[in-house]
Amino acid sequence: MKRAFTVHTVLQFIFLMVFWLLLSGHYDLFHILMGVVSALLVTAMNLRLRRFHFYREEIQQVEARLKRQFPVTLRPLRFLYYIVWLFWQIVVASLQVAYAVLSPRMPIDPSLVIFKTRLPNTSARVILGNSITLTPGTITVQLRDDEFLVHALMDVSASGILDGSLPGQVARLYEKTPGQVVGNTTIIRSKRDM
Amino acid sequence: MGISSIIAVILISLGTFFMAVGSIGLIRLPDFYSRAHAQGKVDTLALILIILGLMVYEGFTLNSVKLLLIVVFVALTNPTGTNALTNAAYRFGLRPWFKRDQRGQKKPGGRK
Repeated sequence: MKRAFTVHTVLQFIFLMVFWLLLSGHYDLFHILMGVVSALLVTAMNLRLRRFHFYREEIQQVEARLKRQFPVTLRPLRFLYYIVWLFWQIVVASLQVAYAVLSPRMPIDPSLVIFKTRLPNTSARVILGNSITLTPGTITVQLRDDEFLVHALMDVSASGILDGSLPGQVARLYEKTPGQVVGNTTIIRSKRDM
Repeated sequence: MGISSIIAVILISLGTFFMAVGSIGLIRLPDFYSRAHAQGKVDTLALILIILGLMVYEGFTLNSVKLLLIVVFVALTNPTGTNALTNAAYRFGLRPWFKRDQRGQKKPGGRK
């Protein structure tokens, strides 16, 4: 565990350094040294933060890698595909929301959707939660363990979640053939049902 | 005007259109949650389109890589911020506006 933590710290430093070099654009000794100092400072400030739950899982993955095991990790090519796919979903959903906002009758029908997911780890759940919020028409209001609470502006906005396509895509980032990802769905449509 | 400028102009115009839609939605939609949709989300696409337009205009340089980084960070932080806002509202006990509760009451977007 300790070794994995060190490796993870070094990886973080390297990542920050690359980021600095990208942003600075000056490649002389003085500016690079300044980058080293800032990256070290940020890494030092993060040391204590990284002992908490979200990072712990990440560090456990590093540990498994060091032991030559292959944990369930993000598949990079699939992730590239996912970004393109998500961008397309965002475009489609934006047009739907734009139509709803501009139409004089304003055909909105908000609902709260509660559902449980079966995703392999915390990162996957965060990716799903952020993707839902990033797609216009749906917002993740609450995420507790496996349970999502989503506010949807229209029925058509929530359909991508209810038929399991968005959660399915997220699960496929980690596993080749995920099973049923979404379950226990409840839809709330009036204040009395809350 | 080269072909890249034309593409840039189209992308930025589309982005501005979605920005305008977001602002109109902010005024027209009935409650906090649905306004968060207009404000936080349609704007996401708008910003991505505008920055893509700027990238096309700039060409393949270090600056366009920096612009791409802006897109990445907006895509990461924007949903987190929206989630923080709506989650705070939900915990506070603010209930969403539902269509079914509105029978016999005035319509949203109508004259007040």
